[in-house]
Amino acid sequence: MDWVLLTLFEAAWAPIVILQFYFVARGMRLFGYLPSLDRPTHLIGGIAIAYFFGVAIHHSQKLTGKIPAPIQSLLAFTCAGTTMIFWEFYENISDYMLHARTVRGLEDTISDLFFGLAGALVLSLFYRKR
Amino acid sequence: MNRKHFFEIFVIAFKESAWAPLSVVGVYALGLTFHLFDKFPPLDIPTHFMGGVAITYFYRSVIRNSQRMVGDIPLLIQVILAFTCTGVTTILWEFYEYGFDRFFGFHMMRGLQDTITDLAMGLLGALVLSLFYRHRSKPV
Repeated sequence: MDWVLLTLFEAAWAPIVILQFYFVARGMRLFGYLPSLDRPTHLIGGIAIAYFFGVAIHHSQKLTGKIPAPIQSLLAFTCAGTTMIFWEFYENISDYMLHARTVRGLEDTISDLFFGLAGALVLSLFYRKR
Repeated sequence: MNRKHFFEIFVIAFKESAWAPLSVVGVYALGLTFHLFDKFPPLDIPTHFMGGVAITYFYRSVIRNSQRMVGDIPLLIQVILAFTCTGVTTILWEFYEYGFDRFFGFHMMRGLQDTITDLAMGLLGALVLSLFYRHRSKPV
């Protein structure tokens, strides 16, 4: 399982920084004061999570065997996209169960997914692990 | 690897498995034509579930056949890639519905809960296919 530790040491900082920012901003109600802050947050979140998956996939080759480079990039993108769906599930469930009011309607959800996917796409196209 | 080879691989995968998503799209088109989703809103749920199953089956075929182009892909990675490709496809499907509603005045989306349910059903279908499907023959 050393590939998991390697991944965490190398790349976990990226999604953790975004998550910290998200929870601090939510705590300070910044998304209420500045609704436009949501879009760059999801864009950078998409970049961060795709980076994390890219590094994880690269290191996982110790477990799975060699993975062709184009497949690594594609998988990092699609894993990030699927994670965004789970993030929307989390927001909806926390709204339903805890009345957290994190989701601001259908348009907001579509926008979140769009900017998250755009960030993941940018990272997947331009990042190459050496 | 040239464009011709890419095209050949796509044609093989298309012949092998495109019937699955095309069937679901056909059912969906019939449902829209006859307003079945308005008359029976719960019909949306099995449609999205079967859509998730069908598109994951198609992706498994494409990924398996693409090995002639990109090289060997470990089976576990093939399974995860097909599942997550379906995840992205369900998002793109929601964009398509949203776009038609917004720019052409359709009423495909019935609110946030409907969208979340669509995504969940699509992913659940993908999960079921990923867990239970095994291809027996070698790549063509």
